[in-house]
Amino acid sequence: MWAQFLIGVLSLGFFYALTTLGFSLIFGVTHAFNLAHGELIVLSGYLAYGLMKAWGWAFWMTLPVCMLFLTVLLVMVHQVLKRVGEPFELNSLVITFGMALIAQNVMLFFFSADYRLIPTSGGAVFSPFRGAYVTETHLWTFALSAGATAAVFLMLHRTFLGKALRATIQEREAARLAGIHVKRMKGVAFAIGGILIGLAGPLFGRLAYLHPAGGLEATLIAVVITIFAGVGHIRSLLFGACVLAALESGAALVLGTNWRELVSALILIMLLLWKPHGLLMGRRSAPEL
Amino acid sequence: MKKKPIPSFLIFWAVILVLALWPLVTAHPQWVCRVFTMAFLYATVAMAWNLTALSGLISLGHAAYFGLGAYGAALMDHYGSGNPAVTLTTAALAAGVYGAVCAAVFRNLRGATFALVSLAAVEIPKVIADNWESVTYGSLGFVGIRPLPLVHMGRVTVDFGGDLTAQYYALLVVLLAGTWVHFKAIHSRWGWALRSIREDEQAAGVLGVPVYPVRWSVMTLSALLTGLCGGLYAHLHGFVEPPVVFSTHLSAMPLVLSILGGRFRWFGPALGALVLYPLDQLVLHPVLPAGHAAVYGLVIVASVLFFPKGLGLRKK
Amino acid sequence: MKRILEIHHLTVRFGPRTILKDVSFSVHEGEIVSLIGPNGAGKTTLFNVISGLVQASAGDVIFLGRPITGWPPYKVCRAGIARTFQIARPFPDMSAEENVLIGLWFGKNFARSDGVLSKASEAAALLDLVGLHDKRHTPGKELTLSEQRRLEVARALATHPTLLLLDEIAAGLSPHAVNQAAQLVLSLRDRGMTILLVDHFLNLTARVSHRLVALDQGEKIVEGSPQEVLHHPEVLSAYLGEREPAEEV
Ligand SMILES: Nc1ncnc2c1ncn2[C@@H]1O[C@H](COP(=O)(O)OP(=O)(O)OP(=O)(O)O)[C@@H](O)[C@H]1O
Ligand SMILES: [Mg+2]
Repeated sequence: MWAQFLIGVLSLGFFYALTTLGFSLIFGVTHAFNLAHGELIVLSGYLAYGLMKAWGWAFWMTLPVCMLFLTVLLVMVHQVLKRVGEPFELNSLVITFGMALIAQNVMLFFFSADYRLIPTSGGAVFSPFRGAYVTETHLWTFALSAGATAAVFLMLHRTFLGKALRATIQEREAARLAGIHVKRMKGVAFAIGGILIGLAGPLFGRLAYLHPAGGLEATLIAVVITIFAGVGHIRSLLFGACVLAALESGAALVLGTNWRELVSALILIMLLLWKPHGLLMGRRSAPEL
Repeated sequence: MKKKPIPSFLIFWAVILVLALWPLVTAHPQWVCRVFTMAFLYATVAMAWNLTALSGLISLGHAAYFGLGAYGAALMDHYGSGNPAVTLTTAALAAGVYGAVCAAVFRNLRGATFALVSLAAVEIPKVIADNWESVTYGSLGFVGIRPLPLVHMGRVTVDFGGDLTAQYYALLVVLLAGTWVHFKAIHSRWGWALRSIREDEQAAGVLGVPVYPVRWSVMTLSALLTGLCGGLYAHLHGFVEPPVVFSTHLSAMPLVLSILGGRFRWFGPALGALVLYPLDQLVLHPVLPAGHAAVYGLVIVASVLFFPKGLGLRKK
Repeated sequence: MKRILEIHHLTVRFGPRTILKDVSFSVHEGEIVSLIGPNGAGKTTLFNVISGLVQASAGDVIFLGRPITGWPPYKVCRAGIARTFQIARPFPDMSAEENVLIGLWFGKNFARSDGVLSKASEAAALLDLVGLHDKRHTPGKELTLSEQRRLEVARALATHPTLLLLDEIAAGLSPHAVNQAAQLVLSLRDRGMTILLVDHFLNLTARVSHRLVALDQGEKIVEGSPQEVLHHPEVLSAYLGEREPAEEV
């Protein structure tokens, strides 16, 4: 029982970390709140679902296609966001809210409002303890999420590009002065975000039902974890994701599956009340009166 | 907006006049009547939303109030009295109380933070409505909410429940009442208070504008009106379910309609609704039964890109 | 002489930092008192506490014998304290006249302006006083810095204050505009207004004020007549090595 809970929490937590990584990277580098984040994940899930259904592709074959498609899509989103004026934070929030609506309707058009699930074998792959099972979905989720998180971590800390990205996240003006091409970094952040969203989508379709209006939950989760962890801190992001997964699974266990959705919304409200300037706190100069 | 206010507001009155007379003089298909009835409803929601926006806050969560209104009316109808005076009061109160609590709790949040929190605040009533099955029937929703009643006026009997034309005129009256409130929120001392708060809250405060009381009351009023519309919706449709009355779409719609018609004109949101909603339902819906609502998203994107002024978001 | 404003042991902390430490002084009726001190001394913060925009951590603000500590800004205003902002903050999309009308409608006499929105003649008189009559239809954001500052003064006067707080109305202005500002302050003094002034231009301050209060790093160092204070060794050392006032923006 407890072991099963733990296995579930770990794989869900790592998956939440994966969903958040893209959002957090884009937000950190460009300060754009991408409210269409969840819708894009669901869209990617639908793409994988469609490929598997229509052409009988195996699950793993859909991954590169989804990643590529979402990268192209995110680069297009970036092209639009580039033209948004001040105040950028609020404007980006409103415009991506509009994009979320468009994405929802596109999905409605192609896939109708029915609930769909990417088929899984469902059976346990192995059982580390008595009464605890690790399924194929657990393994896929855990392996892909952990792999992607580790890759992003290494990229941010070991490569030159990663260092430039981190510098941009931490101190944009200083990075610009140091000769970092900040505009290009924004494009890079969106592209990496696209890869991560593309990867998260098919996993999302295995873990939960795909539904055109189902993206908001994923967006809220990404926002919550980003605000909790701050931007660019992968370890605290992973920690936050696991805590949220544990809280949600706990709520699902105690209250019932669907009450889980309340957890991220409540945490978001409490976090923002506690840190009213959200993520940019401390980065702003004291209000001038 | 400042230079020549007369022509566009004449357009508004002309539209209202045509809409008021049209069912009388032509034989009209019932579904067109229905679409305009709903357009009047959403126009009122748009104006209610704009009350909050006029105080400088963009809410992405008015579906919370709409849904609470719809559920308030449905619950009252099911467990209590079916008298619309009672159900609609319940609807307005349910939304108004939640709005008042939100306004008080979120009083220090602005801009993007407020928008995010308002988005999250929809989830609370939605998840409760979705899961408290013994009371709300969960995701199945409420079916069979009684329609609006027959009303005897002297010797004439008007059937607001069955007669679509009667509903049409009833909602037209609601729209005009909403427009009056919205007019007052722009052209009155109260309107000037809201405007000064929107333009610079702290400067308004030191000039004697009671910032918190004014903002709290306008947000409560905004929620109250939205809830009333939600209650009307429940009676007009006869059923409510969480994914519909708490949908993101309902939060986005007032934003879109207000931006389109002009947020700082007293007739703006109403005009936007009377143009876009029928266009969407009568023209796009037949062509694109699934996905026609993308037009609302497109309007948001286009207006942020090309008419940021209409949105009235200003760098502080 | 009647005490208009008394500050008792005022302390303000932002997180770990103490911005104002145990500051006390008072302002009497008809007086012009200047707060002086180098950048970051806490002068604006003191104004913010008096006008209700910032909460004090300890201490009291007494206005006309009544404690007003912790009151919301609109109550402070309606009690009779008006202020200007160091960085001018006119309502950007309202015309100069409308800016002043907000003060007239909501300030101290708000109850009397009920219903009627016509206070145009009073607004015109105030705009005349600060020399903005020609600009009355110009939106706030299109005024020059000096005009915005004068608009703020007119707007503050529109609330019918007993005490006027002026935060650096001369900073960043041309010498000509500084003279205009000094004239304005003197004419207000002649009308019997009580004024608390913050300024970097020590010569302006010395010319118009009865008394000076010097702050440094949140503490009051000395208080007295302009001659006394400006020649006080601690004041000199606090200012020594400071940037030239003219560089201030
Ligand atoms: N809201 C705030 N949060 C944190 N620190 C603040 C805040 N407001 C002011 N401070 C700090 O308090 C100190 C005093 O600021 P204040 O603006 O009162 O100084 P001042 O005397 O008006 O200086 P200046 O001559 O530059 O106007 C400064 O160091 C400033 O950084
Ligand atoms: Mg200052």
